[in-house]
Amino acid sequence: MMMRPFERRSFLGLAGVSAFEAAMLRPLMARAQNGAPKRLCVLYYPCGTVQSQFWPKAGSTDFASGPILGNFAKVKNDMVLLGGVWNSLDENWEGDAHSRGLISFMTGSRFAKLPGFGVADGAADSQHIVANARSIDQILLEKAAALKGTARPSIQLGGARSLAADAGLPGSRIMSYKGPGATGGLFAETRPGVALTNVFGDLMPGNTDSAALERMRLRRQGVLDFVAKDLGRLKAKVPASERSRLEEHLGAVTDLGRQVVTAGTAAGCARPTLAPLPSATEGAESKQHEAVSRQMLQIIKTAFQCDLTRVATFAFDNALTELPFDGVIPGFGNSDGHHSVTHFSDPRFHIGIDAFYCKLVADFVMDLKNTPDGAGASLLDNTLVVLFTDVNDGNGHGNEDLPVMLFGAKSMGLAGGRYAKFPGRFTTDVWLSIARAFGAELPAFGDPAFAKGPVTGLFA
Amino acid sequence: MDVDHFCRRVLRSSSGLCLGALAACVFAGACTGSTEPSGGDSGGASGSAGNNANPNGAAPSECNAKLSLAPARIWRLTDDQVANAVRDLFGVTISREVSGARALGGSLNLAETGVITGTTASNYATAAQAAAKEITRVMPSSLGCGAKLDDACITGFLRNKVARAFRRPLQDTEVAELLAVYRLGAPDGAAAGLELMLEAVLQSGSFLWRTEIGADAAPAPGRKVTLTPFEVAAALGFFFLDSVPDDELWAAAQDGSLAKRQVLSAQVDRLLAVPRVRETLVKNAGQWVGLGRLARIEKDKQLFPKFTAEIRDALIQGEERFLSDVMWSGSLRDLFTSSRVYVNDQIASLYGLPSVGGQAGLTKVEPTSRERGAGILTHPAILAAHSSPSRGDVVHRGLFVYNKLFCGSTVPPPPASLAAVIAAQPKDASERELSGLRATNPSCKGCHAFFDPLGLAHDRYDAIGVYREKDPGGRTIDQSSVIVNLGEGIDGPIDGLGDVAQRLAGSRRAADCAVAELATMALGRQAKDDVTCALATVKNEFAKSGSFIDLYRALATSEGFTTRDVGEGK
Repeated sequence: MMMRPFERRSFLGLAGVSAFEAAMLRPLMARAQNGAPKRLCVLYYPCGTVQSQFWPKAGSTDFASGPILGNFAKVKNDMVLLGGVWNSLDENWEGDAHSRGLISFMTGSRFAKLPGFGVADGAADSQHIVANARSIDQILLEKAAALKGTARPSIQLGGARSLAADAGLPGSRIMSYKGPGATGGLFAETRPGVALTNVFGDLMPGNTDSAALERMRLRRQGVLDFVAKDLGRLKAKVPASERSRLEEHLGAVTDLGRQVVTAGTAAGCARPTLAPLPSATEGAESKQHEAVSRQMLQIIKTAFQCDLTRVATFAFDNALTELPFDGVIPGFGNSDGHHSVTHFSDPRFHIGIDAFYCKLVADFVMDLKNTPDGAGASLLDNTLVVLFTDVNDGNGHGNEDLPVMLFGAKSMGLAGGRYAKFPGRFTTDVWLSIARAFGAELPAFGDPAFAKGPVTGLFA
Repeated sequence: MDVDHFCRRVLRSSSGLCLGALAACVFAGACTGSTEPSGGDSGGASGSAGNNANPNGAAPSECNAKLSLAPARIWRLTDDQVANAVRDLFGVTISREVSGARALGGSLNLAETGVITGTTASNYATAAQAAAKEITRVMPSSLGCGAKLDDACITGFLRNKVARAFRRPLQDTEVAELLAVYRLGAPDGAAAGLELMLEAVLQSGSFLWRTEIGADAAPAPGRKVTLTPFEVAAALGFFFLDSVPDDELWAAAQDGSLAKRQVLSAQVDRLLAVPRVRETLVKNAGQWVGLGRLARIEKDKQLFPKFTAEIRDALIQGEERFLSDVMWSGSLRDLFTSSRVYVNDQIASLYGLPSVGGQAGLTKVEPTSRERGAGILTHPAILAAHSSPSRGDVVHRGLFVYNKLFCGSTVPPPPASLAAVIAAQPKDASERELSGLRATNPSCKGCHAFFDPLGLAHDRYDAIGVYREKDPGGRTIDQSSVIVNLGEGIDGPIDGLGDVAQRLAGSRRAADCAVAELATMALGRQAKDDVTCALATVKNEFAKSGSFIDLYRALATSEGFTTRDVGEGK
């Protein structure tokens, strides 16, 4: 699809986006190599798994089997199960195991304590942590030309209201970080309708005639022009200590200006229509969990297909979730919340939760596979999907043998249908290999104590 | 995680022995160390443990007289504040989900943590569009100017209405720019022009960010600035109304009179009598004692089938009624010693409280039984708020009293061995037995010794706050313990919540802690370790009367409330 850079001289001039035109050219260059852009999608589900039931049985030739991984049978030829990989952290660190697992996987670095929170809302102090570095998706966005230049540089979505609505413990809720600390975090949008508007704008090709589109474009531009000028004036007035947050806001408004307001269209690119969510009273949002998750994954797929973004992170839920799964899966038979289930229940309940998430991911992967993207390729071929959780075992909280699965990325040289073992290697090592596959040569990623260099043999 | 696994991940000595326990011991020293007076552990006006020994409390010599109550700063509006401002200025109700990411401190809106990133900016834009559409739907597009909607009329609207959204007069440049936005939409009619203009206003930084920076542009680090009358009006508006300044505040800002102490003082007195102000402050106090936590809590449905969402909501409402009584007609002492509780029939029957004879609404009762005589401590709402879904929770109940009511020394997070320790615990142990295990475990006892005793005093109340004197085996539940580390007059043996309540009611430390907690919300910064003489003076005022009206008045009329200290640049 062609993105037409729209005229926004005053706005761009003020926001200092001199590299804008260069950015708009990059996707065309990237595409010239293989006909379609590359995308990265990182998916996260919380609270680990049941180790004894997760890994393929010794001697088994089929890794996509068993009560959990069996759900991937239909996509196994496009899947690589990573074995023996350690999350890049030290179990002796004092922070909450789930949040720190999420943070370390995404940033390769140790969390920071949140200043000044004490025991707000009764949460344990150990849970008041947050990332202390940029996350890999945002680093790749900067370093990999192949990922740049879309209307939305990256999108962050979530499948449960608790990811955003109560943001008391940011470390348990944020996947993507533009910089260290809670202020660097990019919260997930958890309302599908809002996500749809944010990603697709309210104007898509075919909605109205081109003259009306042009008028609408000018209006939105006029609004954002004012917002940018106002922020610029505000920035000049405040003490130096306060400027960076206004710069951040200005950057976000600049990104908004790049949102689609008019565009040519890729084949099959259409704004998704979202079905109404199942009704659920406040506090009973678990009834909507599956529908919200599926709609968010649909938005990601379509945003990729329309080339509105090339980087997406999606969290099914927050790292300390107590979402009651008897509301998610009819007849589940256990009224405890997710995290409690992983500690205090018969393991079959935890297995049931993991199987549920794996099935949703498998359906998403199939959806990508069934979507054409460039000559003779599918959207899955041009997308790397990474799925992980925060601890190895929900009850044990370890960091070794972390469940990590890769899907798709055939055009980047990932050969699927494998159980690839990298014993004793770290998640940072895997990310370095992934960075190379996207054409970004990172000198290093994360804490050097938990990095041994890129793994070999993962990508061709 | 088994012990061997644990060993594998911690220090291993040359002889192969696991040093994990030793590492944990060293770590646990953090709490032992914190008993030393550090100045940071009391939130009090007179150092660490001795607050209660200073009942009359002249401002202590070690407080810092130079500091304002907050730094010069920007402060993002909360979603409630955005929605309240739109309602108050334009008479329109909008969704209270505006940014999609509420304050990072949960219920706390700390100024330094507010940011607007990509998703948030999108959400503000979407919310501004929706609000602008709704405002122009109900607002006459003539703006009261008759048939002639000319530039003069729109300029008047900008200078009178939009200025109040920005909490300051508009510059000529701003008027010109917003008129230009109007003209972009105006070809489709005046309403379309106004809608577009409002869309710009409601997602602008001047609306979404409060500024507390004084009159001069970009003041230099190290300077103290005085807030402009408009900034003072905004500070009072958001503090007391959770919204932009009302008509009176705006008028006092416009004529500059709010810069005078006596005018400020009269405005504060006026506001403190406004019902909506009182509701706002009660909501804040409710957050302090855990009602936000209660609103999100789910109890085990099998164990507590009668604890429905309906009951939970009624408990929250009833607790707010109680807080309102205490705050506007009582004193701090009542918070901990009153036997009053608000119930409806369902609550009365679930908790064995006096029946209210078929009344549907909440009614106050004053049970005479000792187990319901310790104010909020023995209220079902508070007992349920600080418990786990299935069990009375010694740790979190203890932490609540220790941290939120006594402002005890900062407790570090549990050590890395937590998971192993929990996994090794006997599954059927009572809360007291578990506490006993913590008391003997070197990696636990350093800290738990401080708050477990306060939690154990709650042990006769189950996870939803029902009182039971005997355990399932028929033995009387022991509720005795010994308070430590909170200072003379507080430390010592106790037998249940009645004794905890007496220590709270009689201590300067608890009074100072209430000030620190409520000031944290009002000031948007952590006030627990505050060292300003401004706050010390507020603490002294509150300690004299225990009146919350006095507390809020002292805070809002303090000189430190209207100045700001400029920090170092980054």
